[in-house]
Amino acid sequence: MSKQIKQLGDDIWKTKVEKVNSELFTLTYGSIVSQLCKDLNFNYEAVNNQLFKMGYNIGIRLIDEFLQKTQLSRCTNFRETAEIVSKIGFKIFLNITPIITNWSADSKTFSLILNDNPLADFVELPDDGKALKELWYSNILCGVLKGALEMVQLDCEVVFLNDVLRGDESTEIRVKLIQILKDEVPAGDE
Amino acid sequence: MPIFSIYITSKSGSLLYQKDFKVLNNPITKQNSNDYLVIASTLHGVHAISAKLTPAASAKNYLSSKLPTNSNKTGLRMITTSQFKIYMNQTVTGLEIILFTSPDMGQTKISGIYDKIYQLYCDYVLKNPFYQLEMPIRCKLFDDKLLSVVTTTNV
Repeated sequence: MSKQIKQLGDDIWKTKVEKVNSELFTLTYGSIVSQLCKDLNFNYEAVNNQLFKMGYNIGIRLIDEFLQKTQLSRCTNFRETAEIVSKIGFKIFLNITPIITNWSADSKTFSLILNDNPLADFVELPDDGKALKELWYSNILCGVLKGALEMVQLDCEVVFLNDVLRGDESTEIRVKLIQILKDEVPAGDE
Repeated sequence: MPIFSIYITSKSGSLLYQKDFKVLNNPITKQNSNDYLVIASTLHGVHAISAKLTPAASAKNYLSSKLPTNSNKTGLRMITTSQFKIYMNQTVTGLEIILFTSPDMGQTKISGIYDKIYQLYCDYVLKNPFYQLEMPIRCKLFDDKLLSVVTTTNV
């Protein structure tokens, strides 16, 4: 199953996805973050929130593109969801496959370890004494995941735990399933 | 195998998009805009009812019927009259695309058309930064591309 998922992600990446120059992408994101920092007076808490919101708005739209390209149906369990997020979702949109690890005992929480983060290729956080502690530079990713999962009725909490930019050993996103929004599952698709 | 009309409804059943296409000998007459809303919400309702009538377990046995997108497992898929057919499909996010076609339109062909329309919706509606979700679709590009897909089919 896991192999099939990986194969599907690779195939879609090769055949169906428009590519863009990675530096253009990285620099565009960088300029957004730095402008946000200026606009919000280096209140990094607010920057995190703003990035999350932007990501959320991307996620609730992106999910349809994802479903159209992959032709996937609803996952049967959260472990399958995790596999698909990593091996297909991250693969086709960012060409990375984060490692899934640290499952909680109830299979409702997992971590994604990003060994390579295309958003942060040339980035060093400002040396102002608080950015290293407060700013989650790639927080937009959490928003995207949150928005996309919510549209398929998985109400999740998505947060950064670690980021190499802050001097941590790895970049880790924690995804926690809060509930399945049963009432909103569209009729005819259970 | 012409397509006469298209309706797109949101997951809550409100009509987002409706268009009648110019087709020779079209059996479907033009309605006023209120009727379009009624038709869309009625179809949405029937779809939901049919889904409620079939428990999820029975849907699994029935799944052998081939549809490329695995959504819409238990909901209404098709209505036939002597003059036209109504095809419905629902995406995992709940968007419903409803097509009124001539009676000779087949299931395989319609699947391909659905996929194309869904792709156009993703590209020209969702990726338009000024489109708000759940609001009526007024995107010129979407209109144009959709028309060209339908024209190719209707030739």
